[in-house]
Amino acid sequence: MMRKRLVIFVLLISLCATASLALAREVRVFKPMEEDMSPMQLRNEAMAEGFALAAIEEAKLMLAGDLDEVRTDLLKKYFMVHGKPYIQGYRIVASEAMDAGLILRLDVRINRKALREGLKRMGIAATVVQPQAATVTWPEDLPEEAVTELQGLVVLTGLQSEEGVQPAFSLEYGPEKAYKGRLVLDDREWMSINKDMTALWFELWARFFNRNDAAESRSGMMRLAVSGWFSPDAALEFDRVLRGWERAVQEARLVEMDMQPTGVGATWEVRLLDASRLDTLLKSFLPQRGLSYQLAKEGVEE
Amino acid sequence: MSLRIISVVMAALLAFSGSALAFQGYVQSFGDGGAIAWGNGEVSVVRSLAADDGEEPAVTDPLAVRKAASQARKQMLDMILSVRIDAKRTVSAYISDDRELATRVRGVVQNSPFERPAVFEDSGNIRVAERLRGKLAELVLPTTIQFQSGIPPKLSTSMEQSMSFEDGLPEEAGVGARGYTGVIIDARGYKVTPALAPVIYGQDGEGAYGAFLVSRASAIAKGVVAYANTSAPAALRERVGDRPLSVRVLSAYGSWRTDLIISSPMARLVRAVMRSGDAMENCRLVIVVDAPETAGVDVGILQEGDMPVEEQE
Repeated sequence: MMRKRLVIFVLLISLCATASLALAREVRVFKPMEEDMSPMQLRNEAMAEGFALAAIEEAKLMLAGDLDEVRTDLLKKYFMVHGKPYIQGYRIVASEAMDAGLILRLDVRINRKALREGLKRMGIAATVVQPQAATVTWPEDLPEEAVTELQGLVVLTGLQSEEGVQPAFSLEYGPEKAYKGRLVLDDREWMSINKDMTALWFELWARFFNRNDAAESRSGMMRLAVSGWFSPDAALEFDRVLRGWERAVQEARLVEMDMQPTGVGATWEVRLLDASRLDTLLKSFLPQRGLSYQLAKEGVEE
Repeated sequence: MSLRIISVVMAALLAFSGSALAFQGYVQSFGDGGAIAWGNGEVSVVRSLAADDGEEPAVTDPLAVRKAASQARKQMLDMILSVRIDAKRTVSAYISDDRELATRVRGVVQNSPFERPAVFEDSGNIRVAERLRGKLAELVLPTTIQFQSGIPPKLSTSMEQSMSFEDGLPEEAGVGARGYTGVIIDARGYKVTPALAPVIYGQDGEGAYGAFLVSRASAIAKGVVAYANTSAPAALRERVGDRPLSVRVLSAYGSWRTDLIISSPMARLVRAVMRSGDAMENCRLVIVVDAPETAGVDVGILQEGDMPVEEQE
């Protein structure tokens, strides 16, 4: 029986696929005209809001749980200022200026890989499933505006403030209007100084949420083997479909393709977000296409 | 165990009845078991497993199944490529310059739903099907089409002077759009070519309905229009609701006769009807075309050489 293993080919294909992980999303925004606002400012703000909305919609698809209204609003505000790295491109579909403001329809291409990593770094990917207990302290003389900003960051990140637990974050207000932040976890301590509290906050919390044991311990790698195709094109298309199931699969990597005279099979390494959702999706997609599958833990042959 | 079998059979029956009831509309036949149902957008090909020498079908031979399925999907891809997007281009013309897009379309077709023959079935037929909706529509509907722009396309010359009413004056436009749930455009007798994004023009040359009115999402989910070969309200209710406005076409436009022209008063009413209620969101417009002629005069798959010179507007 002739059997070809196209591991290298598949790896190359996977790399190409990763490079183009951006999809367009159409959004519509209305930005009301404010006093002393120039048309250019109005347009820039409408576009920033459009980008933020597109990023939010994409983020909702990626996250394993639902963001409540308050967090969605906070995330939108965050994206309006810090969302640029997640925008790969855009096209203005329609623009309608009126006395009351500006209506924009934008086709926004989101860099999904960057966004996924961003959500993980910000802790949202983990805390949307399970809030993170933490101690957050700040000086008594911190301006009220800054306290509000800090409390917003606590909510956005998904922290549950408790006293005496770790990780423990403390904020100081230093000279020249700069903030000094410190994050302590067991015997580790991270520190940062920045005039932008939001930037400082996420710089420190990224250290915590990017620890190796955060998300990875929650879900192990699985091996998904699918067989019954008649063409490698079909397996590659399913690779795209699988990556699109973002509420079920955090990561999918095509590792092997098996081509035989009677059909084509392929194997993926997948990191799951929701095993039962993946099972439902596989059952609704594969059998009607004459395909069968096996899902097993890495290294376990069924 | 028997309970499980019964529930599987029930589920299959329910699934079958659902697909059987879905609005098929005008079914355009292609040679060798191919068909496009222009109501729900389903493209399907049925192939026999019988060997070329006329032997009994080998329903359990995996090589025969693969051969038949591959041929059927190849035919289905050809059918999809030959579909007209609008007056100016086919799917083939649109995707030919984009290698990645062509690969995606091929991938979707190769991953299409597939029915094997049952082991004890005599016919030994396999069936592949995909819909010109959802993912496939997302790929084949050009991103350059200005969906929901609200800006109607205009014909270069008004038809008002050059055309006379062929069927007498159009019926009175009525008191307004209120109450109409959709639109039926009767284009029988005009040898219309179905397309994914046709335009209905008024006689004044201004677009009355088309992609410029509907969102890309609606077009992908429902199709900009559906085609049927009957104007019987009961058959079209699923698409146009209980109280559709019926409009007679005055002419088909373009070398492929994809676009249609209706009287100016009717065009105004169509615009108003489609902007009311959920008509636009659900693309509640059906174009009625001639019923397929007798079997044996199937529409063949267009070859490159058959293509007329692209229309100049």
